[in-house]
Amino acid sequence: MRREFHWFPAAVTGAMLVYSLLPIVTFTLFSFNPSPFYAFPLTGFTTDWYVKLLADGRIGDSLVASVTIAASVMVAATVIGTMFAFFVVRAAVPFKRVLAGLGFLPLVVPVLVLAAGLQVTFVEIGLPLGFGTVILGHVIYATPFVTLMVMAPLYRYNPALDAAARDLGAGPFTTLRLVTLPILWPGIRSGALLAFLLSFNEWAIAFFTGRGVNSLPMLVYSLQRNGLPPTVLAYAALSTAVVAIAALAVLPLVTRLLRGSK
Amino acid sequence: MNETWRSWLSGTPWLLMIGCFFILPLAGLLLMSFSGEGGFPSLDNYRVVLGEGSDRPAVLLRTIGTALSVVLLSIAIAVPAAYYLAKCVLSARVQAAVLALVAVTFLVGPLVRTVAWRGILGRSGLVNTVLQGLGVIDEPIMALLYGRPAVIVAMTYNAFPFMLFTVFLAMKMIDDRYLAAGRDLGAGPATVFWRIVLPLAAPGIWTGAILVFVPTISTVLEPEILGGTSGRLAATEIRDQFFHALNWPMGSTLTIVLIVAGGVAILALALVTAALARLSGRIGIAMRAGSTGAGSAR
Repeated sequence: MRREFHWFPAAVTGAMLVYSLLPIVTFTLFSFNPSPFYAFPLTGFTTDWYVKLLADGRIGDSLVASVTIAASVMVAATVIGTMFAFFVVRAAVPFKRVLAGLGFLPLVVPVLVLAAGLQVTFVEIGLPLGFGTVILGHVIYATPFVTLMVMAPLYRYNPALDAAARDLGAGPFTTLRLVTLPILWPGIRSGALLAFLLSFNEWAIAFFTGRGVNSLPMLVYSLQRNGLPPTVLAYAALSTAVVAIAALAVLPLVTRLLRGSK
Repeated sequence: MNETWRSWLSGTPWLLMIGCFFILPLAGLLLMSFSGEGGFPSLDNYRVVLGEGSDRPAVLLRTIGTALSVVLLSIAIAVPAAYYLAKCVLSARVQAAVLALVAVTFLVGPLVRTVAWRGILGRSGLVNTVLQGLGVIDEPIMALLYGRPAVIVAMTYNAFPFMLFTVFLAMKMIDDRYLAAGRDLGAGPATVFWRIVLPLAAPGIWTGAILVFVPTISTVLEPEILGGTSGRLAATEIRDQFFHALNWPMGSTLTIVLIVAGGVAILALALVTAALARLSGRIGIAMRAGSTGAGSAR
């Protein structure tokens, strides 16, 4: 089809990019500003805030806590979410639509509601609030996203490949390990990355169910209440850089998927 | 290995977790909301929340209204942009780059994304500094930060990518030949958009609207960080009941009321949209044409 230039959608797309980038650019700019206030004017250039950030013991502790939680959530959510994607796409059991729908419910219930409900439940059943409960809560929050990411390649998956592997003498587990999972791997990898980032940034569930757990979002939350020191801006800029590098890793995959669906 | 057995094996872990740590907690909230001063079960909390002289219904309406305006703003941003990316831009690389850019800023996390607006909307923030530099205003506009507009700007910022991604996927799946056929039959670009693209992308817009609406009614961060003294929202009240008043039954009641109100709002929106589509013959015809077209392509 011949495509032509449409100025209105093009302008909105441009405005959307500005809207998306403006806050990121602003805090990155101010993370190098010597003034302790997050406000104009820019008075110079300094990396002091980064030095202070890295020297701050609390940040290190919180980083360890956040990475521990996010890594555990990533492993659990990826395994469980991938399995559930198989259930949604391939299972032939009674009431499958209802059961599959049930699995996606966390997407349509506000996180705050989940957080409050989990706190009440954990306390009622006597589970001590801490790392374990935060991880559990984050797994509930992140798993449906993993399932969504794995479902897309699984729907496109050609079942003849499995049959071919079987004909060549591979058992079900060998087929899964050597044929199915490698083909689904790009989707699984994106899902894992998403689960990690969702958990890493999540605040409400950690706040409700993690007594004594000081993850990075909780630390940033308490820091911004007392006047927002520029070290928070330095942290924001650094974490943006990390996310950007992770995104570069999956960009070729996204491009390929978009080409494929044309 | 038996096929049924394998099916259950793949679904059971997550369904068990959903049962224990999702259905059960929601049921727990529901039960707890009925324990009032008069013991259990009682409607005391609901009487306090919805009874005469309570400001909670106003807070609830404000919350739903704010969330609906965030949904509308997200549609206004995401639908044209998704259309441009999915149907006007040829290069898959450009599409991926723009989406990835939005995704990166999205994954930086709501807390940082919200705090960032202070430096843009503040008294000596980016907007005021630029406007003053250009000589448009003499005094900084104080109303930018710490009020409803700032909250809505940040909420939209935090939620619109959901809309962008779902609408983009929906539009990407529309067969280009439908658009070409429309053009061949004499429709201009605007007609093609309103009568072919939009009806076919409607399910994607709906999914996006729900994915934007749900987190927006329950967010605590934006009103707290940017809201100043502008009216309280429901989520903040829930948080305060759990952490400051330590009144869990009341917190549970407010939570249940918020879920129900949110559900009613979405239902009402669906009914209004359906009624509008039926009233307007144009859209009705376009939707029917769209659905049969999609059906025959399958």
